[in-house]
Amino acid sequence: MKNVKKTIPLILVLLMGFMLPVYAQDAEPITELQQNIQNLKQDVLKLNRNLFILEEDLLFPSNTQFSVFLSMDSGKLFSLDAVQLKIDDKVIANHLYTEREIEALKRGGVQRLYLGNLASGKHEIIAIFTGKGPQNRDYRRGETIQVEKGSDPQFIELQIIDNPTKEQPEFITKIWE
Amino acid sequence: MYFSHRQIIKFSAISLLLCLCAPVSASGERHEQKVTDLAYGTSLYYLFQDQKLRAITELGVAKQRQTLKNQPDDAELLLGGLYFEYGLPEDSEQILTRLLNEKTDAATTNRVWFNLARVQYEKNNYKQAEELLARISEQLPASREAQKNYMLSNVYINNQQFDQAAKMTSLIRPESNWSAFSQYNLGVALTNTEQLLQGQLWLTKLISRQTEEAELHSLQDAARLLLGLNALRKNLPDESIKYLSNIQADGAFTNRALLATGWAWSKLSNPRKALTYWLTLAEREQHDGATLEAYLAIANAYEQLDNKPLAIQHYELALLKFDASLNKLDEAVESIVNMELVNTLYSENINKPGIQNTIAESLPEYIATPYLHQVFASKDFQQTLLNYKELIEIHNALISWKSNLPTLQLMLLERINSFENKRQLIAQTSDFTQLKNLQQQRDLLALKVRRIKQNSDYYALANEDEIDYLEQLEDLKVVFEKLQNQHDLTEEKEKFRIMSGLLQWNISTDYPRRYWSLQHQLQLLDRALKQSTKSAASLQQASKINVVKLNDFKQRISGQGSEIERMEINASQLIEQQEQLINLQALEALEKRQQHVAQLKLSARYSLTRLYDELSKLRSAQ
Repeated sequence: MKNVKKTIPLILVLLMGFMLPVYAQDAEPITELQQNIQNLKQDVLKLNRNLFILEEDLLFPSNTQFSVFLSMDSGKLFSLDAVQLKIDDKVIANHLYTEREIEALKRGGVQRLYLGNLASGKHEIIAIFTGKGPQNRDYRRGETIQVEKGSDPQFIELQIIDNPTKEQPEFITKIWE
Repeated sequence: MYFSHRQIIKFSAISLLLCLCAPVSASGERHEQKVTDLAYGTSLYYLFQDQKLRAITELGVAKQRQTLKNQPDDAELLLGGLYFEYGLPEDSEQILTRLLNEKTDAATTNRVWFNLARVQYEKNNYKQAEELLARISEQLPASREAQKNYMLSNVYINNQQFDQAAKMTSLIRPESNWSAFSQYNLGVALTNTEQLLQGQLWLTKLISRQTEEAELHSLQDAARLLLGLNALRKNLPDESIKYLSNIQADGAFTNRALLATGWAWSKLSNPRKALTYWLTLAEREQHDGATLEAYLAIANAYEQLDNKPLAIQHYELALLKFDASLNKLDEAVESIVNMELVNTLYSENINKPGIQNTIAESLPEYIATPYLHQVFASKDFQQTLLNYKELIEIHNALISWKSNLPTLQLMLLERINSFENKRQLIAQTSDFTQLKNLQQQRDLLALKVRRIKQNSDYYALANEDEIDYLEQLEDLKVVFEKLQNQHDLTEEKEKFRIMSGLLQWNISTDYPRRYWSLQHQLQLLDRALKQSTKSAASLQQASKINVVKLNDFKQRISGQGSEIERMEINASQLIEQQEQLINLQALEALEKRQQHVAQLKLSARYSLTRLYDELSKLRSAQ
């Protein structure tokens, strides 16, 4: 029995010992690898920004540029599944939402739904929202917006807002100056 | 105790990392700032999907285009946070500090101090973090205030100023998770410095908290295990069992709790009860250290019960298990060397958003997985994995740009061709020589008009019919001269006179109207010429601008291909290095595990030899 007792502290030490790595994570000074990663990240951020601007300038010149954005508030009265966007009766965008995208919208993010070119003049935009409405019923709603495109880029935001008084979702259009 | 102060503070660093740029936006919560600039909103959209590269790019583009007109400070704060989260703390600091240098309102300034303190805190510059937090002049929104007190509590723990740390911990609103983290850190730190009772007080507070959150349940289990082990160390096995028995049956600490509970019963001189726990643990057939230790403990318990044959049997079983475990570990090592871990991460998980938080749970069944749970949970490995994931994202982004670049080049070529086709027409339309000729013609016309006025030359403004009549009258004049000696032309001459007079009267009386009309035409011509000159100038200007623009596009595109190529090679090399680091960290963990098993094996072998010796001596004595 004497020997047996001697082994107990050893095992306890082992028990405690293997727990150590769970939190034993001291910070170390920045390594060369980390520094190289940081340098690459800085380069890529710059490249990404420049190429995004270049792409936009080249493909969507400011005089014809037209963008549609989408945002929503809590989304309690309408659970968005998909959006279809038409300009002058021509389908220009279809978007089927993932859970992460819906979550990002509910948390205050704004999605750029469409970026394209539109000639100056009057146009009709139709947005068709599909999803689940109050009481989890299938819900489909179309919104028509008349816009007049000028020579500056145009930004339109489609907002999905809960109206607690009417217990219905509301679809609002905001034209950004 | 078991954890150093710094180790304790590191505990929730990963949770904290997620909150810098959206302090109130704990998972699922709506962002506290209203979106008044679209780019701010789109950046949030990507941030909330864990696409930081894109989120930063959105703000970077908007900044360059100067479209952040309504909430520039919010955007800078967000950008500072994003840079920090993207592993660029220096850039983050620069942005935040720049924001402070400008004239910003008190609320924004406080947010900047808070975020800068967070940067320093994460860099382990606790003194600077404390100083920065002290500059915050007003109460922050509830969630950030809780984080602030959490950080201060940890700073004080680091300085061993436990009273202040306790004060800060008490200030955190109890329903906040920061309160739980702080209670844990403080409880462990106090225990670590032998202030066992105070430590126990904070840990007990933590475990008495009602919660539905898995993360907090896990933290409570960690606290219970510590309390249980402490009690065991203080030779209070009853108390130890009280804590250990409340640990979740299927949590990360279950096996360790079963092992420790066994030891507690053993200390209570109840090896049978101890055996129940250890046998339960052994039956779980898991690969962790606690389960392996249980095999040894079982044999030990039989020895305590003086059942040497069973003890020998179990020591031998333990040896078999340890050998099997060592074999498995060898296989795991080999698999890592053969890049299987990296391949598994790459193919199955690495591209999933938020993978850095869930890797330990979501890693698919793979030979080394059972041995790597602890290393997966460590901050170093999580950071390595996060870097790996970000490098792959970068690599993917570069490949995408590489494939898009020809499209951009083609688009530019199309625009150049289209412009070249129009150029001749533009040159013709905007030809100033032609305009100069027209101007000269106009000047001649104006001179004529002036002369008409000066000479009151009514006939110059006669219309075609009138000119025709005048010509006819002139012809008649000639006829009269020829016939005047042959005929009496008095009547005809009288008619001629009346008609000439009438025509002259018509022309002269209509002269002012005709002259005004002429002048008006001249003015219209002037205007048209002016407009043409302006249009030609504008066309020439537009043409020049277009040439500049197209050249600018050319310049912007040229060189990007090689730059992307360079970065892609760099990214590939760094991915390779990061893979080596992942393997290294995993191999280190496996090596530790091998050492642990080897130690257990040695202990089992020793006990077995000792038991055989004792049996042999017993037999000799008989």
